[in-house]
Amino acid sequence: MESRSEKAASHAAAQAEHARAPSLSSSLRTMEFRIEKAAFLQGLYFAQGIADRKATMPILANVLLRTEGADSLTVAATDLNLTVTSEIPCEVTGDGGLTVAARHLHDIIKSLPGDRLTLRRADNNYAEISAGKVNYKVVGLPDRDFPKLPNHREVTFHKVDAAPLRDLINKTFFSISTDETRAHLNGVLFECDGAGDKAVARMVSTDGHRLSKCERVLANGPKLQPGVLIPRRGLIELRRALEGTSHIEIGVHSGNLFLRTGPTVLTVRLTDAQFPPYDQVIPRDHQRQAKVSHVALLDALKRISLVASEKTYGLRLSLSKGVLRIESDNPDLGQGREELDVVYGGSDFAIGFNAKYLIELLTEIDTPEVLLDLNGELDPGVLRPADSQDKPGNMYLGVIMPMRL
Amino acid sequence: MSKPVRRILHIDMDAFYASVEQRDRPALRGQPVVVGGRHRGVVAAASYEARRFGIRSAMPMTRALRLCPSLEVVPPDFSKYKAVSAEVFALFQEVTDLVEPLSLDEAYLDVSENRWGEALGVQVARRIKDEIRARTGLTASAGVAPNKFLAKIASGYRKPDGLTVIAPERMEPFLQGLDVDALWGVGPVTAEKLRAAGIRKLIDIRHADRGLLRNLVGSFADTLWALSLGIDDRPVEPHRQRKSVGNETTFPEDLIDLDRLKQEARTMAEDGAAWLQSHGQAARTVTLKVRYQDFQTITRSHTSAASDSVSELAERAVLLLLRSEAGTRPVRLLGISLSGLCSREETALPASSDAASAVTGQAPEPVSRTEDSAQLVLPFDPALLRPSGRRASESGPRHRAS
Repeated sequence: MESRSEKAASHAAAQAEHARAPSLSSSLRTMEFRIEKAAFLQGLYFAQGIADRKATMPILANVLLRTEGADSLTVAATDLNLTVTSEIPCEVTGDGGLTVAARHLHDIIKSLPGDRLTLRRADNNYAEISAGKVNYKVVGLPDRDFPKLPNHREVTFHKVDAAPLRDLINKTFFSISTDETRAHLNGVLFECDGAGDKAVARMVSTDGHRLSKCERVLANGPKLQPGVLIPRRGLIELRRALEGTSHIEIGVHSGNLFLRTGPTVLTVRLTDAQFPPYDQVIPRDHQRQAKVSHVALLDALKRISLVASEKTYGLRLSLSKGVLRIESDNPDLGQGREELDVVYGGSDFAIGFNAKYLIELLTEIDTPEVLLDLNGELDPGVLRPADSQDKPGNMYLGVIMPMRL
Repeated sequence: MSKPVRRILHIDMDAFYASVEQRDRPALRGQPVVVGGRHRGVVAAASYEARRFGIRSAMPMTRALRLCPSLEVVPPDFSKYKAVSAEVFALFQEVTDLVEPLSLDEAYLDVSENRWGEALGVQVARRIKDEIRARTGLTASAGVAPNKFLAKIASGYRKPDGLTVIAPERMEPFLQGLDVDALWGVGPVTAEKLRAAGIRKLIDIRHADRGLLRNLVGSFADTLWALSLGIDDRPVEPHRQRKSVGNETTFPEDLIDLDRLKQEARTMAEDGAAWLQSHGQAARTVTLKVRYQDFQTITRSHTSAASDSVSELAERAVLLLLRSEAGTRPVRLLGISLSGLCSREETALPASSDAASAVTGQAPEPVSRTEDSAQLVLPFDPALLRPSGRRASESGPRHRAS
């Protein structure tokens, strides 16, 4: 019932807009542009990924089309937390704007024949699309109801390599908390010292049971001290934006992270919360250390976790001279055990870990050998690449809390 | 029936929450008043003025406001109602120890013997009503009968400020007049089923085929049959065990986000489990209730070995949620209740652990509880890992750079 009355209200609004339209269009030409299909489609592709079809505000499902000057079109979509805008060259024959269902418009443009098309705003917020002998008339909403776009004109952009950013995200993404009541853990902390071409960037995430911390050289990276909290959803879009590009421009301004690749700017609203002081949970030293083959450890964990409890993935890791034994004893399924040759000279020791935590971390490590640093059986363990000397710009580690055996 | 005739009272405060508000705010007197959340809430209580507009408790607030646009909507103040309720129950305790609370505003009393030394139930009821009025300024309706079910029907017979007595010799004519849905436990659905089988009056049950009756209402058939004869031997139980613990919420906006709904379900189950733990109880059954945007309401439940494990009950609640259409259909209301309660000691028995789990495919035995809590937490300051609200350090630096 409510949604029907909402619809009626928006319909009434559209009628009102229509009633006002003639006086506007008599002084101004109505929006019209000719555009290359491929470029337009690219902008619509980004937009339909962000446009929120389930939003309570119907206009958020729409893409904004607005002419800029005589030769550019802004294509934008937002879910209020993420915004994507693309500036696409076109031939403007009438100024103005309009919004159209993003997914719908993307599919229509994709299906059109030929390389170019014309789009025109007709009465009552219809978008008239023509290409060759094909004509569409698509329902739209007035552009002035669209949320204000974040202004990226005042942002200082820093052009950085895409690869280290991609690496930082991948190496921390998996340990982000999925508990939505803890917004301060629903993203990664992104810090950067801004030291010119030697700048070091850092990402840290934790879900309370484990923590990942990674540092990479990010030449020309912006100074972000204190760091910023990039929410999970923003990281997914950021990762997408980093696909297939060697460079990206980044900047932080008024609580937003801006990312520019070519004609497209992605804006991520940063989480306004305090990330916990992570350094206090990273052990400074260790009583025992084992050096293990990365591949052998990962394979053994995957094998033995097949008989681990599906709920806790609990495994027992026992160290004795030169040997790491990984075993699972699950009353519901049975037992499994594997022994690995390791470099270890300490006393006999056993500790429990969630296999999933170890596996997810190992999957992101890319050195032939890994180090497992341990203290007591109830103290956090650290797993890291064996070649990591903890030097800035080449640092990666995961802190994992054990399970009680 | 060699047993002496009992004198059972059912006392029901009239439009309790609304009356308390009208008592405390004279401007509300004589006005249609409801207590409840204005935005998407339901009516928790409606004053008699409001009821004249057709407003009933449990009605969605939007509908109530449509029925009566000038309705006064007062947000509930449960601490106040609890305080008033405590006064009323203290009075009951002065009369007899046999007081069975049904809610804040409703109770059964067995006054066959009472400290006031009154021989007649009706006298006790009259004095209680007077005392309630004197002490709280509120009115109550009372029913007096030889058993609980008739006492309850009697108290609802004339409201507000009513007093109805069903003396043993007037029981039969009274029963003759009752429709079948006058019974507690016979809702619209059961009533419709019975009516379809030609059972309209309570007394029709006496002559109905018992097999047919059992097909219609299951094990409730025997109870119904006894009630139709006016037989109800249930004692007034002062310390009646709570049968379930639960919680439900109507969201400010319909939710489609499955993760968010999972979290809500988890939190409700955790709250229930916390209650269980603080009362030394465990629950066998987890029941999920989901009301979709179009008001279609479904329930899903799962019974397994009794547990008071916060994580296990939360996990079971989430699994039930996944068996609903949450995440694909907007959800208006979500509820989780834990039932099949037993004392925690019983959970150690392997009694029903083999009956485990259609949901998880594995037995949530006590061992999984220890396994679950076996995962240790990073040694942050615990406050930092808590669900976010406004954090204390908002004025400080966003975080300390290392």
